[in-house]
This record gives sequence, structure tokens and C-alpha cells, in this order.
Amino acid sequence: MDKKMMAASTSMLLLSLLEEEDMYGYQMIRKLEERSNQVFSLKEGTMYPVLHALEEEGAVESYEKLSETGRMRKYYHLTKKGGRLLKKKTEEWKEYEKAVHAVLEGGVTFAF
Amino acid sequence: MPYWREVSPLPSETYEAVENFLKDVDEQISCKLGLESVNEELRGHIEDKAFLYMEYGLEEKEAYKRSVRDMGAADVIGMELNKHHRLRLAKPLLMLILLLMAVGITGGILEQQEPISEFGPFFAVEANFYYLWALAVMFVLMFRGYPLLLKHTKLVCGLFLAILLSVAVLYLGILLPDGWDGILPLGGIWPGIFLGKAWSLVSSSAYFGVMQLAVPVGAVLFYRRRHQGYRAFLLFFCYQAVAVLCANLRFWNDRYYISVLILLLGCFGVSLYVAGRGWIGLPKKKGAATALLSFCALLVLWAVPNWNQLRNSWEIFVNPGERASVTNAWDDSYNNVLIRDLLSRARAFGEIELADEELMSYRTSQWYYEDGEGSWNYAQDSSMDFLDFEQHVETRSHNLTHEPTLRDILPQYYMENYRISWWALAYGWVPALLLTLLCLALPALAWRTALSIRNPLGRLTALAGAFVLAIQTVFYIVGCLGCQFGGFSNLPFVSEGVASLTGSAVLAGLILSAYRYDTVTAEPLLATSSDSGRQEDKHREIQE
Repeated sequence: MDKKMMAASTSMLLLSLLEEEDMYGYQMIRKLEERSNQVFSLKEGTMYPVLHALEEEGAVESYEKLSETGRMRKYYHLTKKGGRLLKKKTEEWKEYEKAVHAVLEGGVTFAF
Repeated sequence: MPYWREVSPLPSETYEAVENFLKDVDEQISCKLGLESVNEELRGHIEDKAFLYMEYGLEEKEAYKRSVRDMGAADVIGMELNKHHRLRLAKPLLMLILLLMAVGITGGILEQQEPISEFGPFFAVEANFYYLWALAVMFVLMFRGYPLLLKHTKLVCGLFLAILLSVAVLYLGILLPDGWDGILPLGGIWPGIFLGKAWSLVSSSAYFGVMQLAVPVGAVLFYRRRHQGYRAFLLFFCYQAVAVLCANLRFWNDRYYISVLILLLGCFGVSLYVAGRGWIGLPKKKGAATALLSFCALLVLWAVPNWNQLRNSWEIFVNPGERASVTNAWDDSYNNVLIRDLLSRARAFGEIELADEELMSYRTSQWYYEDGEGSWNYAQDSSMDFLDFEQHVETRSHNLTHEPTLRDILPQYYMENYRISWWALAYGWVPALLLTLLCLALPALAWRTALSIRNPLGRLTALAGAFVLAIQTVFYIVGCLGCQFGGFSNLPFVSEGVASLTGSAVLAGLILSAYRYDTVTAEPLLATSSDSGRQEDKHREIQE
């Protein structure tokens, strides 16, 4: 998949994953690949700046939790603000998708 | 498929590849504070991925090499992280505080009567040096406050309690019988013997400072013990009780009931917030009920020994005419009566219009105290026993060397302390209303800044400060409208007074500091091990 397209929707995808349960970074990457049948495969480190930006924005909150291996993992939790942001982004995406689909299908006409 | 495996020590070569990656990321991040947390998160990710590769049959070294490669370019990740991992400045709040201070300084310069200093108008007003001091305190706190509080919480809290208790021990007022109070300066405080007038400043500064700071310091203590449930409430209760008891024992200055109210209301707000967030280890409703119960118990503990004085303060607040004293410039009852009357006559713009006779009548208090036949009305003042009304008017008139002005009819320090009502009288209602809005913006912005802090302890510390500023602002504005309760409240930046300016500066500095270090401090890394356990909070919250 084109990297620019992927980057534009990364935050929405991450928020949608967190809507189901709290997750840590690696878990999110795996879930993303699994669900998209390996279509969404990004450079894994690039997800963290997106997560940190969402955290700064107040869309997600993080907390640390001890894993079974004894490692402290940083989990992310969707906030109410994040829920609203996800809803907005999803609506925008659907609008965009509809428009792209309409153009590809030749359904949109332009008046000159 | 499990996302974890037993961690085994890495061979040095593999270890080096991971550490080099992390080092390259770190190099792009300009703020080096709290990088351990970022590194730990990335390292964990690399290890998890390496375990996956090993499950697929790769050798450890190769697995790590591939997982580092999968992370992407370290410098790009570092540059992107640098945008979010940085010290922040709460610009709107800082700008507002500077604006309020500028209003206070300008007001002081405009209201000064003495000749202007040769160094310029700024230096002619003594209070302006208080502003400089407050500014310095605020910036020091902003740059150093929150990290120090995190690192040395126990020390700060211990020191605070030690100050409270040691001054309580030093204070001998409680040992003196009631009638002896007048023998020693300032109501029986023996340090007054040695320090004289300076003790007044020290005692009131300490009183205001301690009572104000008691809220954020108490909030930190409470948060640290949050996992202990009811015991945490009990500790917080005892902490407030010490402060209240000190105030009850005429600890510093029993005139300032308002400070105790601010302390109790602020701590109540803190405990409600902590309970509401589910941090306390109790169901939210039980937590809120315990907070309310503690607040009521402390209110009783404070109010019962001071019942008579509090009733007086309440009367001064609701019906000041009953207790007005014409001869006491510190009396708030007459002040309330006077300001209510004058404010009702203020114009939209410009100074209140008063004829010379009216000015003289206000100056001599004839308008209120004369019964229409040349005698005292409202016989509440003890001074009336030895001075008849005509003599009183004459004395007050002769004290004036010039025709009375608006300034002359107001109580002392009115222009400096009651800035909003002074503006209404001197410049009109509209400027006063704008100033009121400016004052209200302070707690609103402080509140907003605090809520945007993601670190729970930072948010709570900042919220505690915002609570105090909000309560102060409300009392201050209400006081400026002629409804003052138990002495004037600390004034949030707009009015001078070294104690109040310092207290407000410390609170604002803490809020700005908690916000500044929010994205670069991870609480569990700096806090003691007993403070970890955030995951339990989250689980509880989610379950609820």
C-alpha cells in the first residue's frame, strides 16, 4: 500500500484498535497486520510518534503494566476525547472513500 | 499467538545493535529528560518482534537484526518523536498572569500620590518590587518546581509539616490567658517581641503561604497514599486537621478565616477529584461520600471553637451595617456598607460623581452614622462612648489638609487591594467589568491548563493550585462588591501585597511547571516504587 495513504489513516486505525481494548505498541502493529491481511504493514517505529502525538492531544492516555515476562509495558487507553476524534475521522474517511469511489465509477460530473 | 517470551540476556553484539538504534533515536530528541521511558518502549517492541522471528526459526542475532530493521530509520523516528517529547510552555496562562501583573503595576503607578522617583515611575511604588519578587518566584518554580516535587516529595511534604508544627510550638498565644493578649504585640505572639513590625509581615506571609500551599502539598500526599483507600482519606483528614487546629489556636492571625476556608474547600475539591477518578481504591460514590464527610467534620472542627467570630464574619458578610465601626480603618463591615452604597452610584465610564458636601459626608461618615439630629446612629462602636458625633466630624474634617477626594473617603489600602471596585468608582463599571473578566480568566485558564496535563500526579498538583486560585478569585470578586467574609482573600496577581503575590506566584509556578514537564516526565520512573500500580487504577476504571 502507498505509504502516504497509510500515514494519513494511521491515527484513525490506531484509535479504532484502542476502541476495543487497551494495547501496547507491538500488540497494535500485530493486530493491524492481522486484520488487514498484511496490507497495513508500516515501518514499526514510525507508529510511536503517532501514538505520542495522540497522547499529547489527549486522545489516548498511557499507563505502565508489568508483563508476564517481568517487562514494564506501556499500554494505551482511548479517552472520551479520542472516541470523539475517532468518530470524526471515520466520518471524514467515509466521505473521502465515497468521493473516490464515485469518481472511479464515473458517477461525478463537473460543470464547466 | 503469545506476544511475549522469557527474557534472556542478549549477546553483546545483538545488544549493541539495539542500543545503537536507540542511541540514534535519542540523538534526534533535543530534550533528554525522560528518554528512558521512550527507550524502554522501543526496546520492548524490538524484543517482542525478535521473539516472533525466533519462533519462526531465526537465530537470535538475525532475529534482532531484522526487528531493528523493521523499526525503520532511527533518525526519522527520533525527529518525529522530538516534536512531541519536549518541554512545553502554557503560553495563554503565562501571558494572562503577566497581563494581570501589568494591570496591578500600572494601577499602582496611576494611584501613587508621592512624587515620581528619579529612576522612573516604576521605582516610586514600593509594591512594584513585590511584583518583581513574585515574578522571580514564579519562574523559579516553573523551571524547577515540579521535577523537584516529584524527586523529593517526601522531603517537601515533611519539611512543610515540620514548618507547620515548629511554628505551632513556637507560638505561645495559646498559653496566655485571654486578657493577656494585649500585653504582647500582635495578640500574644512572642516572636513579635523580637521582630516587632517585621513579625507582622512574616506571620501573615507564612500564614497565607502555608494555608495556600497546604492544598497542593496535601494533594501530593493524598495521591501518594491513594492505594490505601480509607487510610489515605484519614491521613489527608489528619493533615488538614493539623492546619485547622493551628488556625484555631490563634496560630498566626485569627482574622484570616478566609484562608482556612480556602484550604478546606481546596482540599475538598482535591479529594472529590481523586475519588471521582477512581484513584483511591474505593467505588466512586463511596469515595465522594467519604470526601464530603471529611469536609463536614473539618468544617465542624474549625467552626465550633470560632463560632462567635464566624457568626460576626457572617453578619459582616450579609448585613454589615449591624457591625460597622467607623473608627477602625481595618473594619470590613463599614467598608462593605460604604462600597455597596458607592458602587450603586458608579457610572459606566469615568469617575463617580460626588458633590463636595457628599465627599465630606462620606469622609466623616456622617451619611451613615448621623441620626439626622447630630448624634450617633447605630450605636455599635465602643469609641462612641468617649467622642460625641460633632467632635468626631470635626476631627475627621481637620485631618484633611485639602478638599476631600474619592481617595480620601475610602478605607486604607483600598485602591491597592480592592482593585475591581476602585476601578468601578474611579474609571466606571465597564473597565471594572473587563477587569473582573480578566480575573475570572485566571482560574479558568489555570483549570484548563491543569486538565490538559496527562500525568496524573502533575494534573492533580496543578488542579489543586487551580482550585485555590479559583476559590480566591471568587472571594476576591465578591469582596470587591461589598460582600467580604472574614478579612480579604489573597488577591490573584492583580492587587499587591507581598504575601498574596508570593502565594499566587508559587501556585501559578507549580501549574506552569507541571504542564512544562508533562510530556518528558514519566511518574513511575521518578517516583518511588510504592507509587507504581497505575495499571490497577486503569483496570478498576475500565471495570467501573
